[in-house]
Amino acid sequence: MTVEILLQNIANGITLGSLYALLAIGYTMVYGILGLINFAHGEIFMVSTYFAFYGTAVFALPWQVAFVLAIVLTALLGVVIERAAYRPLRDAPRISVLISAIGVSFLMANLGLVIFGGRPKTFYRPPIFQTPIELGGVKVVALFFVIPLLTAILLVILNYIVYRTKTGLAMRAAQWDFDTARLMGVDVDRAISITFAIGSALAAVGGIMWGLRFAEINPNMGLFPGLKCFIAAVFGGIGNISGAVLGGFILGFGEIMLVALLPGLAGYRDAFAFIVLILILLVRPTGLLGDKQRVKI
Amino acid sequence: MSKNTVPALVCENVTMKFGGLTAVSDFNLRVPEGALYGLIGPNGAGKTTVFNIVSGVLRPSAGAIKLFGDDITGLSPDRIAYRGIARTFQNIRLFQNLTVLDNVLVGLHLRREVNLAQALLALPQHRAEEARMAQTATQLLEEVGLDDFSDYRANALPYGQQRRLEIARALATKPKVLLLDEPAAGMNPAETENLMRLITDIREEFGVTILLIEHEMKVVMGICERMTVLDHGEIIAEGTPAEIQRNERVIKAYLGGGAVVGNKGS
Amino acid sequence: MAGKSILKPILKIAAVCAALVLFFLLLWWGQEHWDAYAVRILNLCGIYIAITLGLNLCNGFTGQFSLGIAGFMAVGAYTTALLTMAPEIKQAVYFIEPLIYPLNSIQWGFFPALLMAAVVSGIVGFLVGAPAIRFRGDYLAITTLGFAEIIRVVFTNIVPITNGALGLKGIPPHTDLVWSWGFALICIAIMARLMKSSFGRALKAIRDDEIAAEAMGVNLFSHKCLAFVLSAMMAGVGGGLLGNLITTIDPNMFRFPLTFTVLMMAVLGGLGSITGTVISAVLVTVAMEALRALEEPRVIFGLALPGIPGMRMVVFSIALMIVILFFPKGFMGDREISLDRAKRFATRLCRTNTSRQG
Ligand SMILES: Nc1ncnc2c1ncn2[C@@H]1O[C@H](COP(=O)(O)OP(=O)(O)OP(=O)(O)O)[C@@H](O)[C@H]1O
Ligand SMILES: [Mg+2]
Repeated sequence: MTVEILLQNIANGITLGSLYALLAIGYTMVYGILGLINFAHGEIFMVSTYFAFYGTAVFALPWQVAFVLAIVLTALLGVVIERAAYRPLRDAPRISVLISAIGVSFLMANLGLVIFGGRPKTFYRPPIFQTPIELGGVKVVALFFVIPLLTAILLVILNYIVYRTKTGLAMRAAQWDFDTARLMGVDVDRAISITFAIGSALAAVGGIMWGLRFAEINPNMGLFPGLKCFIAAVFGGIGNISGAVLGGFILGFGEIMLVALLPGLAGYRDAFAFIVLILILLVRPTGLLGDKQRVKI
Repeated sequence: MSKNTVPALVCENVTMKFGGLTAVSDFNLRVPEGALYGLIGPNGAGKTTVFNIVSGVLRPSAGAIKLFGDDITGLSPDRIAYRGIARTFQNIRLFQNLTVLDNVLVGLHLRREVNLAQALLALPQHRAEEARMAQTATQLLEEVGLDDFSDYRANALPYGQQRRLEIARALATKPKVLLLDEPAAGMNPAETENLMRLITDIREEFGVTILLIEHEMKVVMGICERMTVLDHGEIIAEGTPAEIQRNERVIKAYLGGGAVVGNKGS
Repeated sequence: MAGKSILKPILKIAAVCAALVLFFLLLWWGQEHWDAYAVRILNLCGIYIAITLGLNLCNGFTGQFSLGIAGFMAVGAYTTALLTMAPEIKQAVYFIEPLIYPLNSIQWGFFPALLMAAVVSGIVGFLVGAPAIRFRGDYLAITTLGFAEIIRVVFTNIVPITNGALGLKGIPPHTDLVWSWGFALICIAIMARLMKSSFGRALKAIRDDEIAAEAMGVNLFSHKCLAFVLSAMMAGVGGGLLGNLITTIDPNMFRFPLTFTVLMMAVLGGLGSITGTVISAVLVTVAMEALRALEEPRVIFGLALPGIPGMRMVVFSIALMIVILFFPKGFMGDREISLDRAKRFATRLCRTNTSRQG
């Protein structure tokens, strides 16, 4: 492998890792607070790309406006899904909530198919992101810098919200001990809504970046990238935001490098994440940065 | 060595650490066969942790558990149940969606003599065993006074009866040693009275050795021959009820710890 | 008295046997004489009953929420197809890379092939289950989903055995009503017997409280494996019957939507109910076919309506959401319809009627 190709792969790894990280945060936050794999998170991500697509291509809004609008709408969508499909089941058996999540995921993927059509759509890519930049003899487009940079900025903001604001405190309290937090007067419902809003907004940023990076979007793009990002969250230690980012990067990098170094195994790319998941759970069930949960007997 | 000289249950220098917290430290216990032995101590003393270790839910950080002289440390809970230790739970853990009768029948499962194929083919051995099991289970329910409720779902029973059902279910495994974790919790005085009689009856009828955790002092003092007192994971006293009641350290532990002797919620 | 007690079970067995014989004669006759479309749907009903029972055994009765059923179906479908296809057809189908020896030259009968499917999917079920059952709840769900996905990816890639993404064509159409409903009845019988035995109670105990079950001496590993393996075997044989019904299979058939469909049948019928599963599997299978119209273009009153792909699944997802939100136990919960119950119900009805008259 030449240096050039190696650098290109590293750039690919960093971008994919950033995208995974953005999605993984949503999974980890929701799992942390509700103990639920939000199967619908992948579809939230998918829908966000369509919001942006319709904004730019159909309503011909300036892309800045369209993207911000898409992020806001997606955040709302996340909140609505929680209200409609998860909140009524707060005291139901966990399995019911999981089934509900799977149901929402399926409903959205198929509604997407019905409304958006099965054929992939071409995502509008503002030229500014395609500006070539030369770096040490390698030419890459600006997008490759924008994605990790934006991810980093969002992480700083997120950390501020979670660790420095009252809302963040409520979220962490609810995550630590749901019932006690409720008894102590924490507005758990609000904390959960905010968690969904933030997670979905980050997924929307990820979705838009995805569109900019890969140019094509389709209604089935949610489930598996979504599950992979859940795996990234487990990898890092579920409930732990830094862990999710770390997991996202390791998974994104790992996938790119697997294909680059062992092209013979490229066909197994989609199984890679699951193999990692199973190994992690067998060896270190709490993930890289997670801590142990205990059952009281 | 004759069986009478070997204690039914022995804990030897058992220590349990959870991260930085030492829940039980250097715990020693000898329960002679046929005894009704008490384990008491204020909240968080480590009593339930001892039960969890003895029943195999937790593996001790150090030390050994012996059942009639056999080392059972580190065996899985189901193996330990098979060896002859059964327990109830402080926070009731019944099979909520099964009937009262089925709850007891599950306890009989481990001593089954019929294999899966025989059961699936409904061979006569299977039918005979099912009949036998149903009979035993009904007797056990009679023993704890729940025979009228055998068709109820377990979660439909009132609290006190759920505790009795847990005892019947534990007895179904044919234990040599029975561990009861706060069986009187949440019972009214009349129910507690009945429970005390039940526990002593069980020991007579089933010849089982009983280790009892209880906050209700009336119960422990009334029916246990000896007891060990734990505080902060350490043994602070051991002896007969009369000795314990007079023990300075015990009185201090209970009053100093802020716990009210004789009454406690869940 | 003694004579009566011996006579009664014998009579009962005879009655059941007679009913079975009649039932299968009817199916055998119907296979030839009924409308081909109806026969196809009835076949699917039988197959889905079996597969959904398998899923329910694991997810409902034992409480081990697994999402790997499509993977086990794939294993069974490929095993059966590879064993029953004629060597000449195999040669024609595998044009990218030839099928490996000895698979390329053998052709078995349907029954041994299905048996083999049961064995292979059972083994795969064990290999998947043994590590996965240590996880609880959501984690078990996602690892089993992962295993199913791994199976699919592997099947797409081992071209000399599976023909890769192209899949298999020309599988002999062995499956008929006697096979599909025969297997459905076997699965119903197994489930009914199992749930009436000590083993079934132990499985339900695990569902309700794992820690208590273990403390009562139930070995979690062996019992969960039992549920997992039996479930995988039912799915595997079901997959085999399916493959030999529709005669073409490819790895992409066995993706998550297939698992979702089966899961939906189980949830609608009630996780933990055999009769509920049977009813629901039949209803959903028929509805699936009926709603197929939604996705196909057609003309109504001179109006050309385009088919809407995905519409069927939208309807079913909404149905699932309604059930889970408003009737979380499905329409049967964990209750069963049995002859005894029906009899009791009938007597009660008669009694109220007579009392009203009197
Ligand atoms: N699995 C565990 N992980 C971490 N800490 C634990 C665990 N189990 C128990 N502890 C801690 O060990 C200590 C002893 O707990 P234990 O439940 O044994 O007390 P107890 O004597 O039964 O009290 P109570 O009367 O409240 O039932 C407590 O501080 C408890 O928080
Ligand atoms: Mg306790």
